[in-house]
Amino acid sequence: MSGVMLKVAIYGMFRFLFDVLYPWPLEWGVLILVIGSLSALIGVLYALSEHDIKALLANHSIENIGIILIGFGMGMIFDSMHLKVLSSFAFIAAIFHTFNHMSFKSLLFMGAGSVLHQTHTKNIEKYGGLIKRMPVTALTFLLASVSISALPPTNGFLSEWMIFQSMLGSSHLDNTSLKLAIPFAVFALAMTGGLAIACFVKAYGITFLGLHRSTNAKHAHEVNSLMRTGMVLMAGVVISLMLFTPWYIGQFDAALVGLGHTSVYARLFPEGIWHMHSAGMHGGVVSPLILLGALLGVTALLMFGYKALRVKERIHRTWSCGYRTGARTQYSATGFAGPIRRFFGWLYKPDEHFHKESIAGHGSKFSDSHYEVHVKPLFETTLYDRVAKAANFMSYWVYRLSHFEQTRYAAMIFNLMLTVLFSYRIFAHEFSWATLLLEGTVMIISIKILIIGEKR
Amino acid sequence: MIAYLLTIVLLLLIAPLLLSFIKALKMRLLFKKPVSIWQGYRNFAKLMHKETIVSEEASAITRVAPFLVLSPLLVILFFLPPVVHGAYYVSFVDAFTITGLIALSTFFLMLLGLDSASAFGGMGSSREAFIAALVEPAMVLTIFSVSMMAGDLGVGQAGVNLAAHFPKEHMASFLFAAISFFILLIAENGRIPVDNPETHLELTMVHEAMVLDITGVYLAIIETASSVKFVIFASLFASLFLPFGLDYSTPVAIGVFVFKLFAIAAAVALIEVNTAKLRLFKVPNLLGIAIVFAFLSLITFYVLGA
Repeated sequence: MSGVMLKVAIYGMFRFLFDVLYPWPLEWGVLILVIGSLSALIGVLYALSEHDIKALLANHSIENIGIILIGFGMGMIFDSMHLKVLSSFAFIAAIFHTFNHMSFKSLLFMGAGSVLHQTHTKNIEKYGGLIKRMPVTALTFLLASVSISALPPTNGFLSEWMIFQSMLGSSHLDNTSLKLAIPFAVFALAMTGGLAIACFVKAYGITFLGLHRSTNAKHAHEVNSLMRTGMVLMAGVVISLMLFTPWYIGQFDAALVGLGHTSVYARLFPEGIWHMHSAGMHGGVVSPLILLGALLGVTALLMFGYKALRVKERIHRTWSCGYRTGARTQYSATGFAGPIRRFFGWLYKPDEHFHKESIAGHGSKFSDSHYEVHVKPLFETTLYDRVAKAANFMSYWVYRLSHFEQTRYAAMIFNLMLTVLFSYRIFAHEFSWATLLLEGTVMIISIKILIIGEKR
Repeated sequence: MIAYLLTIVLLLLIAPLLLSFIKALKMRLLFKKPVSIWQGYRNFAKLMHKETIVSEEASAITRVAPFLVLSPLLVILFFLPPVVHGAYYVSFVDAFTITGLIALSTFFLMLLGLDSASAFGGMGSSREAFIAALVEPAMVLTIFSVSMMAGDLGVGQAGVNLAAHFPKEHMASFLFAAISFFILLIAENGRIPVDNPETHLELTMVHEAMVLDITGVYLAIIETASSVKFVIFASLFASLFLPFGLDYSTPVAIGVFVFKLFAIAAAVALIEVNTAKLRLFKVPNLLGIAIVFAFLSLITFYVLGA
């Protein structure tokens, strides 16, 4: 769902911009870059404070669409500054990230769906220890988490690397104010990356690691083979995007050439598929396959060495300050996001409830305590709630109108006619401030007297 | 090629020595009887002979994560700038990849902290996630500005370029970037203003809290990883911000490089002795300074060209 539906909007935007609005002014690119940066940061911040796993992933979609828009905005800026190669590079980065997001977000939602199916709750505070019960789900979820956190050598890293590279290409622009502005977008993107890592450590760690936090999680089992197959297939898509990056980029490149853009494939892969170069001058180079090989090789070597040592292994209780580890002594998702929530308190404006029963008037000794925190997203309070309030207000007036007596209706028709006549005179016939003022006053008085009437 | 491999082996061998050196220097400055500078190796040897105890609550992550914490850092060792003029170096890896590999290592370390179901592990992971999220932008911006001065984003190539042509004309932005990178060195390695590596007190610890449930060979691996991380940052600082001494003959050049590493370690030790650990919620202020210096470096580069 999220994999395709959100991309329809992005696709529509791409088509509309390319087909209808092609030579766009510079400001539009900047606008999209700003919107993208803000959306990325705000999306990941709200994802961090979210405890409903589906809402968490949905907030991450906001973040990733923001990242795509950053790449897209950079492409538009370069295009209007006539840097065709860099522009194609940034557009390819944006499209590649769109595909990557499609792959790993679908995988994450499948994993979340499996967990939901088994535990019958969406609250991640009620999960825990699911890796022992659901190994396939846990493994695929881990792959997707690493990928969405933009960690090498996964596909998420590659596309984010391309977007970063296209932003570093901004040093070729001959517009100083833009050059100074783009580091702020770099900052936003890097911050987003860091926070995404924190968020997915939280999502993965609280869901799959540790001890079960509820009986539902205790009795969870691996999902049926059909659901497992789905997740494994999607993991295959993620891995294929990682392994066959040059082929995918070739496809995107061909698509952009079809739209009249410069081809950059030859610049990205000048010496075969092993190294991917940045399109800008003095840009970086990344070699996904070598990196993957090196990481796997070194890890395998280390594990082989460990096996060769034949270390005695014992499973036992480890020390935790003399207390027994229990489900309730673990860190919760709320606690995990605590430092970040506190640091960004000015944005979250969290709704906190703290209650404790203290013993004999002591401040620090208590028998029972309860802490609850809710974060309501900014756009929910400002956009949705205010609109709802306005709709309420209007419906109240419509309600009052529909319960008027007949004389009021007649008065309303009279007022409407007055409005039409006056507005014809003002807007179509001739305009003067004096008549506007006079007629406005007449209108207000007649509305007040005839329609609103006295206050009851 | 020989110099290249030799450097990697040297960095691996010197890693525990540097951390022990910091500790010994600190203790000497505090008029304590200093530990031996070989203590790092002794700890390693001791841990290698111990049996591994795995927590009852732990899952497969605990058995895999230590290797995944170490291996990205070992891979980075192969990508560092050369220390001898004309030595082989890997030219195709850029600074973003290195940042990403460090983040990968931190990612698995944080998962390891959450795996054993103890409150300490979660606390450490939570704090590390907070700090790492703020380190990331400063790191990327510093890289951005250094790459501008070096004329290349590849780490190896940047080191060579800076050594061949020291950016005297961009001294101001170079210094700003150096300050920013040094703060990052301290923050990423969990040294004192950010994290105290020596205490096991829940108020102060970040890194130690995550590895509290790890023993034996796994602990040896994690300790090696943290010393390798320090050596990576120190050698990056040495190659990018102190880019001199490459032109001598191979043994002298390596000697100069090792001296630079020890000088950086001594600077870290001096900072540790002279400052108190910051509260966790004051750490963003320090990292904010790093971010501001990185921005300043970029702005001076663009606007003043200095």
